[in-house]
Amino acid sequence: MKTANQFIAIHWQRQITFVVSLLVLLTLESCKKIVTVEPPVNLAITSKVFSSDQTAIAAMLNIYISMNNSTINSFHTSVFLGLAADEFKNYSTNGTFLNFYTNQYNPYDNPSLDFWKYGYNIIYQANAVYEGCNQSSSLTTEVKRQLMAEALFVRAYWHFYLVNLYGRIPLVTTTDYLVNRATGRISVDQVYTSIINDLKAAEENLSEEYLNGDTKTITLDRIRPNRYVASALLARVYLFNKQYALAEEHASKVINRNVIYKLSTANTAFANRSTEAIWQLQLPLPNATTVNTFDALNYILTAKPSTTTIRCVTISDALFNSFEPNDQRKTNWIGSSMSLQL
Amino acid sequence: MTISYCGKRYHAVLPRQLKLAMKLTTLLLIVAFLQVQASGTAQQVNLNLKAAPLTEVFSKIKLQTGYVFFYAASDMALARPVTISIKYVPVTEAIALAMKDQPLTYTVQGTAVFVKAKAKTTDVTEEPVAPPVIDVAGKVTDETGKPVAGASVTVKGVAGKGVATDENGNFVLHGVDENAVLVVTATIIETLEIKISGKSYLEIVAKGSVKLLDEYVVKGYYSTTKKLNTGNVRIVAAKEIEKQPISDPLGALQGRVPGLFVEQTSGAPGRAFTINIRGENSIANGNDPLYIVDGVPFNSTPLNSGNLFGSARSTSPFNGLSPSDIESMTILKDADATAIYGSRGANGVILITTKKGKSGPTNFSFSAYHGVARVAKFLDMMNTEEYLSMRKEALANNNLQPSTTDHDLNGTYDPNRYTDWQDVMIGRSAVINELQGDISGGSERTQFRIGLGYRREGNVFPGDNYMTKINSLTSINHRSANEKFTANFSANYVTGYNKMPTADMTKYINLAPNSPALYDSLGNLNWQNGSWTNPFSEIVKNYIEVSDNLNASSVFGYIVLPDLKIETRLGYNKSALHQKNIIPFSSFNPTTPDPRSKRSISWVNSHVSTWLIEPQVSYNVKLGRGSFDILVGSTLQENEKELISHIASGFADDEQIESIIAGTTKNVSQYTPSQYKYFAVYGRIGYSLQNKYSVNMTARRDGSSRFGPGRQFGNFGAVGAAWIFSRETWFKLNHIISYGKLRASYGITGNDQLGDYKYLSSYSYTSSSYQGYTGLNPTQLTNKQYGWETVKKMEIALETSFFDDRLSFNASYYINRTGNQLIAYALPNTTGFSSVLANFPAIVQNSGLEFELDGGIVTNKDFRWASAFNISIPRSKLVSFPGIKSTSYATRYSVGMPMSVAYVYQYTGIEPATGLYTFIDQNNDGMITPAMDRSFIVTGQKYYGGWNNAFSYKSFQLDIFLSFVNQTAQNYLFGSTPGAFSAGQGNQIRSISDRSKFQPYTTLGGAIFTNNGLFNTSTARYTDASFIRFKNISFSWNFSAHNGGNKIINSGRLFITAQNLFTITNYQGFDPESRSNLTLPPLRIITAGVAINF
Repeated sequence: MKTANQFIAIHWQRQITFVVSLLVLLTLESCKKIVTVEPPVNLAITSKVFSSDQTAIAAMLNIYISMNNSTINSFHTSVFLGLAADEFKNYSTNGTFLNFYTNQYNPYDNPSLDFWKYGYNIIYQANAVYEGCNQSSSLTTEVKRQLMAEALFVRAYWHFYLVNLYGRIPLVTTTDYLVNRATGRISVDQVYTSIINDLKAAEENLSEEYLNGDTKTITLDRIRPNRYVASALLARVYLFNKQYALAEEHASKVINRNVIYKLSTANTAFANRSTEAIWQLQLPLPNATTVNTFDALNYILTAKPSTTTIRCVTISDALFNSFEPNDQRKTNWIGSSMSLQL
Repeated sequence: MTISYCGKRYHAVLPRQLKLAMKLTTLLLIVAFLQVQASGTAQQVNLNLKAAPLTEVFSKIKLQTGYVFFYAASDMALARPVTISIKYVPVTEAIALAMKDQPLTYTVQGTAVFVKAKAKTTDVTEEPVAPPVIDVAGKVTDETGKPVAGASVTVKGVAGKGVATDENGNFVLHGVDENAVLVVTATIIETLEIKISGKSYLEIVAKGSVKLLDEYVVKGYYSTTKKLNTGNVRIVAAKEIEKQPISDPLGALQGRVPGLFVEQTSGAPGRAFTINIRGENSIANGNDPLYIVDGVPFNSTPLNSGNLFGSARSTSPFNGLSPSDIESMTILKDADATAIYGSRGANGVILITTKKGKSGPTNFSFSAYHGVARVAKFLDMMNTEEYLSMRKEALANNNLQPSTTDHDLNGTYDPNRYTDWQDVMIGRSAVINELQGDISGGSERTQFRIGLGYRREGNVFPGDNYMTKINSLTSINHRSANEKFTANFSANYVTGYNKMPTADMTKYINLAPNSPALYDSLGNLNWQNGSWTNPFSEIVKNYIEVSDNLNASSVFGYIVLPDLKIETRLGYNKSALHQKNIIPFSSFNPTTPDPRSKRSISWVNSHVSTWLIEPQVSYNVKLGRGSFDILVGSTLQENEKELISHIASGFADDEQIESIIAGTTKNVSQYTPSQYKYFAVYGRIGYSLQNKYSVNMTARRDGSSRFGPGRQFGNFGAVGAAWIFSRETWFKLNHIISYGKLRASYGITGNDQLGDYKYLSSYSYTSSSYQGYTGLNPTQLTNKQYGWETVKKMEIALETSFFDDRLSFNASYYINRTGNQLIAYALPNTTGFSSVLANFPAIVQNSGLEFELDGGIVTNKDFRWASAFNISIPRSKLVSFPGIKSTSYATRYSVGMPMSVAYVYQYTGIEPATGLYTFIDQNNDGMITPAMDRSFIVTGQKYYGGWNNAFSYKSFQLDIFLSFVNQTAQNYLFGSTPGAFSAGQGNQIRSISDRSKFQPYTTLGGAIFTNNGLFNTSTARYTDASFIRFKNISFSWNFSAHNGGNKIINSGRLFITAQNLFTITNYQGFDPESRSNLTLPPLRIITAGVAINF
């Protein structure tokens, strides 16, 4: 006769077997699902970004947003390079401003480092848009063509600025960090060759008109590069390379397009949609709600120049004196006020 | 039957018996998770019953030991109720105790116990033939002479013959065989057998309990006895925690546990402590231990938004626990103890257990204290006269005249004013009040505890700043009548409110001493015509943190068979923090243009919630003289984290700001949701042989969503072994060493403390838009191939006790090696980013020695002195880091050197001719440059530890706890330029005028200035920052109150405590622990209070 204990013993041994095998199933079965998370709602997977026009455009437009962020924007480029070139008189006690004004900056300090760092970040973004669009088969053909051309234009534009700021620089034409981390400086000529190739491709593929956010409809805003923007930069690149005939050829393309481009009065030259403007950058929202451009915010003085980093420079005497007496730019663009005197 | 799991189906044919058994476990299987606890291994019995039926005693013994009782129901009618309280008593003795005084006899055959009624007639007939009987009296005392009350004295082999000692340890037994053997048992002594040998009075001295070694050690998923434990586990009990008048329980661990380094970097209320167990293993990722509160992982990362904080900077999530609610904190250190936590165990584990109710009469307890916190030491700063002469000298040295911005010298500031800014900024006394109360009690089967408390802590900063906290803890424990089912529940909720200045006001103590008055004649902030930024604008701004923490844990257990237990834990934790920063226009100079846009509010909500299901099965089996403990379990866990940050500005007036919607500009500036999923299977096999040898194997397979596809799963495990050599027969002759154990362990743990989604190639939405499109920004460069950091841990240790366990000495040596370091591998900017996450074959080694000495020095009846000392000697080394020179770590670490290093210029003193600082020009190029002339020096801790002395005399008790650290760290200098005046600040320590130590004053610019910059990043900035701190002194008087025979107060205690009372150090500056003269040092806190139980 089985005693109670024996019965129980058999009983629970089987139960143990069951429990253990259940756990083994849990273990062996690749329950990867359990540890797989969906991407968070504030992130978009790269491959999905370039599967729809909307998100691909957003990735491209982010480049223009990046070109206007707080550490690198048209004001920063102009103010620091202007300080270094003595176009400005400095009032700021800020170290960076002082260093640039007295030519004591070194490449590891900002903003010099910022130009380098953000410059290559924008080039990365341009390469990412180019590659993403190139690999995508679901984008509308005209959008894809425009975005890829814009990406090439931006890539050329930033290489152009970097080569002029730093001389020999690495040329970056892929997003692969394994390649890019090993890229060394190449000669200025080689950089220019690439810039010219990119700009030619951009000139060929960019829309003739200025486009809206949807990258299809036409707008009066001049805040996306079109074919003539590429031509204008190409002209400048040839000019810098002393290829004057080619420079003239491409500049003429812009000048001859007089439906869009013509001289306006000096007062309205910098205005939004100005007919003199070839390419304007919109200050992205939400900044745009309080400021139109950082340049205007900083160069138009409302009180005596500050010692901070805002509204802290005036035109240098040398530059001021170099204008001819009746230069329209001098009379229209430079103000003076006794009440602002120090 | 079909079991569906993970979308696939398995068919299993189950035996019939199994289906029956499965019914029992349906509840747990519904969620398909099982869990365990090691059931008692030895044939020992724990009983705690009051007037219980004998059958209940039988069923309990059966449950715990497997002994089966056979009896006739009619005989049980004769049985008397049993009151018994025993722990770890061998089964036969337990039966004997239960049967004493019963009109029943019994015999034991194997594991069967046959019980029957005593034949009344045989008593009479047998008596005359029995040997001569005598009456025996005696007294039972422990080794210190203290009477052992309530010990049971029974006659061996005679059922029902026995008495309990009275409160003086006395007993009398009538009619005992003069050759009989008495068995003396009690929980606090070792069971003892004494031959009467005809004596009528016996002085019985019982060995004080070795029970310390039989204490259970909870190692998270399982427990073992201290004796058989193979790993490094250290427990800090409530009595050590509750003596300290602090808000964050982690602060109570400082100096208490070898290998656990706790540093208080600021005295601002709520500030998080720096904590690590056995050094920092990871170069780039988290080095936090894994914290588990009642079985549920607790978020230890401050929830503050990265760019919004107040004077406390990162606030500790552990303020969401109250020290008074904590029963114990257990620190798990070596591989044996931590490998079962797999990928989360690399940096050690801290288990926090909250208080539970105990059965018995309802107990009300209440405690309250009141105290004051102050800065313990102030700096000797210059007065106005000295300050101004320093400034004038500085200008003269630079050939300068006071400029328009030298407000302190050019007449803008009154040269005769003097303000002691230390007194203004941190000179106040902060009042601390705390009230705690709880009710606990319950029956044998159901116990509860409800605790509630309130704490308010003021600020030493100016303004109306304070931190309050309300804590509540509820716990219920239940066992079913058949003792098979258990349910435990605990819920801890704490809500905190912390109002603080927007900055640590200590940073303003070096304001020029002749700075203007803070307020004008009208009581408004004085801006002195815009010449300074009034520091009290930080107080006019409001910074508030509201925190909520809920930790709930339920454990359901079922004893399927005496040795087989299934258990499931269901846990939930939610920590939330709401930050609010209100900036009114009144915090600006009234002449500031555009007041509307200056008024703003930042509003951040963040929370992390965790749920967890942890089923486990435990099983115990004996094979011959050995015993196996087997455990299998699984963890399913998910964390959700979310942070949303809003900013609103453009308010018409200051009153509107808090309404938020009145602002003209409202932005959501940050939104970061994240999710973490975790799945694991773990197991343990413990084997012990003859209570002499013990082996413990643990393993865990972990899957974590923090890694990319194919890299999510990892295996971890450890083996530990212990040999209790004092149990060897050859060793027992030894009379000095009463206990000795050698143990060793080796294993692999992992570290997954990195951010979520790092493997994902993604774009993130920005808060900016262009042409109506919200920008999509590439988030990061991605490497999908990265995996865990692995920490290999090895430890050998010796545990010994001397002189009958009065003194204990433990020593351990460990080596932890972390490889596969997951670092942000620095990339040139040409890649578009500065780094990419990648595993790197860098190896970090942390090794060290830890010693603990613990003993009762004096144990008289009235006077006792116990002392406990621990010391840790940590060593760290960067063993290898291929290609370190090309990474961003080139200036932070050096291969072959410790992990705590500084990369500095080598200061060589003052050049007598020029009075300037000089440094070693390492490359002899005639210049001191950052790239070429810096080298590494060793900083950090050489050793640290603590020493506790507990004295008691009658009802008075004095505890003195010292913590000590020997370290090299940054010195007291401000790091500023003596002589310069910037943003209203410029005052210096008086000793800066010593020209034998410091160079002449300077303003910004020039050679002296340049040299000063080098000086601040040179060896001259490092100094001995060792200290011995009287961390906690507590003096108390215990009392009870009677009214006639009735106790009104069961126990009461009046106490005075002093935290950080004084510090012995050569360190100049506020404090060698906070080490900065610009942050608030740890405060000296003195409190007095009362605690009563009734």
